[in-house]
Amino acid sequence: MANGNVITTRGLTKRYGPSITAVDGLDLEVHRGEVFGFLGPNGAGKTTTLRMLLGLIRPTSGSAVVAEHRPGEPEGLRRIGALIESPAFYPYLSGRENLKIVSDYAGVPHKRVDAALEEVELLDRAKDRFGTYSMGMKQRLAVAAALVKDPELMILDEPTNGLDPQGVVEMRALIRRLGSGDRTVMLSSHLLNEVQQIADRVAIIRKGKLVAQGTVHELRGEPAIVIRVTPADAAHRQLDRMLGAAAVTGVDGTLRLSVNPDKAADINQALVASGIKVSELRADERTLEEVFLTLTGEAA
Amino acid sequence: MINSFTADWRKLRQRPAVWILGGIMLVALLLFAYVIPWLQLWFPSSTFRPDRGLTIDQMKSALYPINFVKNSLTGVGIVGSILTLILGALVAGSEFNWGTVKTVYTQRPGRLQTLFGQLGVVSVIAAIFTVVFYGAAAVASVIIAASNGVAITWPAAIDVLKAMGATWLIFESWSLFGIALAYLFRQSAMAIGLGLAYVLAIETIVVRLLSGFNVGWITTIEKGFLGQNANSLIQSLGQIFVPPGTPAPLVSAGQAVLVLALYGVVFAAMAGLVVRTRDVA
Repeated sequence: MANGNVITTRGLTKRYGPSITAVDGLDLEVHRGEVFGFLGPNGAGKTTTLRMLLGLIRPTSGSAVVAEHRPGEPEGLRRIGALIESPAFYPYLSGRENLKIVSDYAGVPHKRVDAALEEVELLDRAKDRFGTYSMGMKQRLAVAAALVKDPELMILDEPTNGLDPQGVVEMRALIRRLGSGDRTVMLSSHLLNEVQQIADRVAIIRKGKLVAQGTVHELRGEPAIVIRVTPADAAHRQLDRMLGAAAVTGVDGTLRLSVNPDKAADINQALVASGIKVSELRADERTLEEVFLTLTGEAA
Repeated sequence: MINSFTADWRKLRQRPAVWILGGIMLVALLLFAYVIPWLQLWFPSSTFRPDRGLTIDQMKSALYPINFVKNSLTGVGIVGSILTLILGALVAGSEFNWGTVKTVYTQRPGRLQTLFGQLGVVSVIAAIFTVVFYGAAAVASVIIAASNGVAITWPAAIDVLKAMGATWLIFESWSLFGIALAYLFRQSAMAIGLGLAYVLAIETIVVRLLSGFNVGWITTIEKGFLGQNANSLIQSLGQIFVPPGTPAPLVSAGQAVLVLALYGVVFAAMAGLVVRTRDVA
C-alpha cells in the first residue's frame, strides 16, 4: 500500500427489497499498479460490486472511492476502463466506428482508437461490423474500448466468458500484458488457475460478504512436503531432530513437513540413509482453486 | 455535452433505421399529399366529387408551389407523429436492448450530459426531416406546376419558416415522448407499443368521444392532449381553403405552440429524472 489504493470500499452494501442482500458490508482495497483478482461463485455479488464501483448502480449504504473520486463521477470515469459482463456495442457499426464513439464520449482523440485495436490484435478486422464478430473478437473489442482512454485502472468482469479455449488463451495473454506495467487491473473471473498466475492479490466473496482478501501467497498458505514412510515412528523422530518438532505433523498415515519443497531431495536422502523406506514424497501446495472452494463452501 | 452530441451524431447518422423512418415519412407525404391527389384530380373517376363545394381547379391549385407549405403541413398529421415517436423510442430504447447504455455510462460524460447530447441529436434529425420534407414537397409541386404550364409562384418566406418551425416542434414533441417512454420502460418495443396505443386509442378514439360532449371541463381536457394541439397548429397554419361551416381549430396557434413546447420540456424532464436516479442493471 506504499503508493496508495486505487479502489477503497467501506461497508459497501446493496440490497434489493427487504429480503435480498446482493453485497453485504464489503471492505475492499485495491492497490495501485497491481492485478487484483475478484473471485466468488455465481451470484456472490461480484458484478453488483463492480457496477457500484462504476456508478452504474447506487449502493444502499457504505462508501467507495475509485480513482480518487466517488463512483460515476466524470473525472473518475475518465481514468477507468471497464468491461462489465458481455461486450455491448452498436451492431450496425464497425469495430473502429464503435471505438470512435467511445472515444467521443470519453473526450479522447481518435488516434487512440487504432492503437487500442492494435493492442488487442483486432486492427485487421476493424472495418467489419460488430454484429459479424465472433465472441472472442467482441470481448477483445470491449477490452480495446476500455483501453481507448489509456486508463490507470481497468475493471474487467469475466472477460473470458463465452470464449473457446483458444480465446481464453488469447485473453489471458492480453490481460497479462495489460497488468504488466503501472496500470491497475481489477479482474473478476471464474478461471482460478488464470487468476492464480496473473493476480498479485485476490479477494473472495460469498453471498455478498468478503471471506478473504490478501496476496495469492497468503491465501494459499505455506507450502509443505508430504511423505509416506516405513517405519513411521522412526521417521517422525528423525524428522523432528532434522526440522524441529513444530514442522512435522502426522496426517492420515503420512507425515506433513512444513518446509520448502526444494528440500525434498535432502530429506529423502537422509531418510533412506537411516534405513527408512520412502514410498511417497510430494510437494503439498494448495491451489487458489482449493482455497476458493474451501472458503466459499463449495468443496465436495 | 459536445462530446455526447458528437458521439450520438456519429452513431445515429449511420443508423439505417433513422433514415428508413425519414424515408417512410417522405414517401407518405409524396403519396398522400401529391401523387394520389394528382391521380385523382387529373384522371378523375366518374364518381369523383370535389370536397365541400370546391372546384377541381381550386383543388388542383393546392398542389402548386404557392400552396406547397400548407399542403405539406396537412400531411404531417398522424404519420409524422407516429414515425417521430418511433424515432425517439428507437434512439433511447435500443441503448437498453443492446446493453450499450452501460458502455456509454462508463465513459466520461455524466448521465445527464449523455441525455442532453442525445436530445440534441434527435432535435437535429427532426430538423433534417423537416427540411427534407418541405424540400421534397417543393420539388413535387414544381413538377406538377411545370407539367401543367402553371407559373411558379412561391409562398412568403415567413410562411415557409412558420410552417417549418411548427413541423419541427410537432416532430420534436412526439420524438421526446418516444424517448421518455423508452427510458421509463428501458426498451424500445414497449415504448413503441404504448406510444402507438396512445396515438391510436387515446388521441383518436377517446378524443373523438370527448368531442361529442358540449361540456366546458371536457373541452378543457381535450385542449390538453398532445395530438390535439399538434392538429390545431396544423389546422391554423395549413388550411388552403376554409369552406363555410369548417370548425375553428380547438386552440389557437400560439397556445398550441406553448403546449407542445411544454410537453417537450416535461418529456425531457421525465427522461432526465429516470436517467439520473435509476440503476443500470
